[in-house]
Amino acid sequence: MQNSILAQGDYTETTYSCQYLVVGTGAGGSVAGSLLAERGHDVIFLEEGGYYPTESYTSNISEMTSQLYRNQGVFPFLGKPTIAFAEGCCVGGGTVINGGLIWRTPSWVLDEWQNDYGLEGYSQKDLEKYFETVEKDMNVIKCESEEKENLDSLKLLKASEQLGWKYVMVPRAVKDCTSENLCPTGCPTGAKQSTLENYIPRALKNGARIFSRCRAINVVHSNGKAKKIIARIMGSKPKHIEISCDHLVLAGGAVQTPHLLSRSKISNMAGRKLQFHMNLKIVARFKDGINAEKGTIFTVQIQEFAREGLLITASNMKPHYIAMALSHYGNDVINSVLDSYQNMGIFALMIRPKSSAHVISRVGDQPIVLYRFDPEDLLKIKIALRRTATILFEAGAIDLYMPIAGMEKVTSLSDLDRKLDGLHPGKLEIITVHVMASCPMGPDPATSLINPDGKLWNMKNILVTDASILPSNIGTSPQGTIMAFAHEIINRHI
Amino acid sequence: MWKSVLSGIILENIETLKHYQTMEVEHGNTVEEILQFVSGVIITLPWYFRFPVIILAYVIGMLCMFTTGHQLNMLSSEKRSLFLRRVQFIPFLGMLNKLVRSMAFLKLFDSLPLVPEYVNCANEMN
Repeated sequence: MQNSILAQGDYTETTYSCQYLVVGTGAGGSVAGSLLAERGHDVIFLEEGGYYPTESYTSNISEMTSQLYRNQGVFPFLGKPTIAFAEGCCVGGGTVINGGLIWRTPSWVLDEWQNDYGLEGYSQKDLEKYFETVEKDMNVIKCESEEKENLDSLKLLKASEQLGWKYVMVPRAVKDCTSENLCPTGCPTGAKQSTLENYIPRALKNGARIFSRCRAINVVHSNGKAKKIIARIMGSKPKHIEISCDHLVLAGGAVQTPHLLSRSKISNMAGRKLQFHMNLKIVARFKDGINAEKGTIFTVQIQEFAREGLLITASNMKPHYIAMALSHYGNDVINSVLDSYQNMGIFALMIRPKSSAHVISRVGDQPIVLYRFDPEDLLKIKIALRRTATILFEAGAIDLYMPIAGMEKVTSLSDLDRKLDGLHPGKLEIITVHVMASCPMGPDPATSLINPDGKLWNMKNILVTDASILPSNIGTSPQGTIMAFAHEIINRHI
Repeated sequence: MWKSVLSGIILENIETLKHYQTMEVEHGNTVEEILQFVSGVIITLPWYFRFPVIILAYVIGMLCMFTTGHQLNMLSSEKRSLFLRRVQFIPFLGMLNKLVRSMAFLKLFDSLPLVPEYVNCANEMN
């Protein structure tokens, strides 16, 4: 298998050719490439990150972050506050470093895409067979509530029942999980089913090749057809290669795909309205021990407010993550929290904001992402923080450390209300891990970049199969949706 | 010079952490390892973030030399803290500190402390 994966030093030629060139090996690229290879096509995957097989993963979080993330996990969205975007950059892409959540697209989101954006052929019924296939391929299981492990999630579940709030057991792509709690830095046991465990081996078995550590720089095109890609082999002595192809499949993610289209002068509309989720973390101290490090990361999700764009879960727990989540507090707080580590839990709230960003590709090799914080989101975040605090206090939390610079620990809801009064958005500590909708799909070339077959409106042989094509902000983890859309696009294409 | 400023900011952020104080390894080595990691992160940042960060670090380094006669990482804890408090008015210093602090924590906690209280607690529960 490794003979089919090239890295620095393996590129003996300066020109290559294939039928299908797939840029990106994450959720969208790996599904598309494996389906094409299985149907007998000559496929090359182009991947900017390195190839790190599962057996090379360790529990050294900083080292794994350096290997598996773009810019070692720090890619800024410039605005007030600056938002850190954490993006996978390795063979397997985001699937290697995410929580392995595979949700079917909520029906109300698909209805919105059909009714408001005119997208036909992507209803729940149309996608049903693809969700079933993806769930089978990725070994998706519904997490079960346990009494010994995942006590942070169990706390949420019980509090949710007491409040009468809707919760669901999370569907995750795992096989024989041993609760290492290392999903965000690559599962060292291979229990979490990234595409390294299924779609990529399937593609390689059918003759696909992977060009790793190789960044797509420019798409050469003429008369509405992509001819080849100029790519740079990463490393201390960068070298350029050319890869000719009959068809190009773009799946480099919702920031890099529009960047490549803009740089290649294929579309100046790409990346105009990048959408993203906002994630905020609350650290909670409980009276009794919950040993949150023992257990997997997300087993219960609070969905009571999903339609309003708020999801609440327990998050991954390690001393590193606690310290980082509390980095806007002083070291006295971090010392105190780590002293009662077994009583602590980190809880994440994910918001579907109104704010959107713009990918600028005019200067330099890397895109600049600018965003404007929409004032409506401040109220949304305040409500979300209050709701999360409500369930955490119900669950038995005694202190909450909020993702707000300068705010002391919160000991009650009335205390929180007082402290949220006059909150300035610049004080918020926000990160994002989901970006999308930067090259939206739709029926009208005036308002969309991609047609419902997944093809760029203005190019005959470029397909896009990553989160860029989602018509709008999905409000949930998009991996299952991306994979289902990739299946549909490739099936329509062949 | 910019790395000596980073080193000073790293020290300022980790010196009072119990985890750092109780580590069994040589502190100088730990700071050097963290410095390598944090400077590696900065070097891989997009250019529009990387250059301002490095220039800012140079400016702070120069100011430190002019006002104290020493590099930031060579100052005593008290003098270093005092200097950093005095230059807090410099735009974007807060952002630089936030970046360095987060990345330093990520690296620091990969080294186990001498008295890993929370690890002991976790083991007891198992």
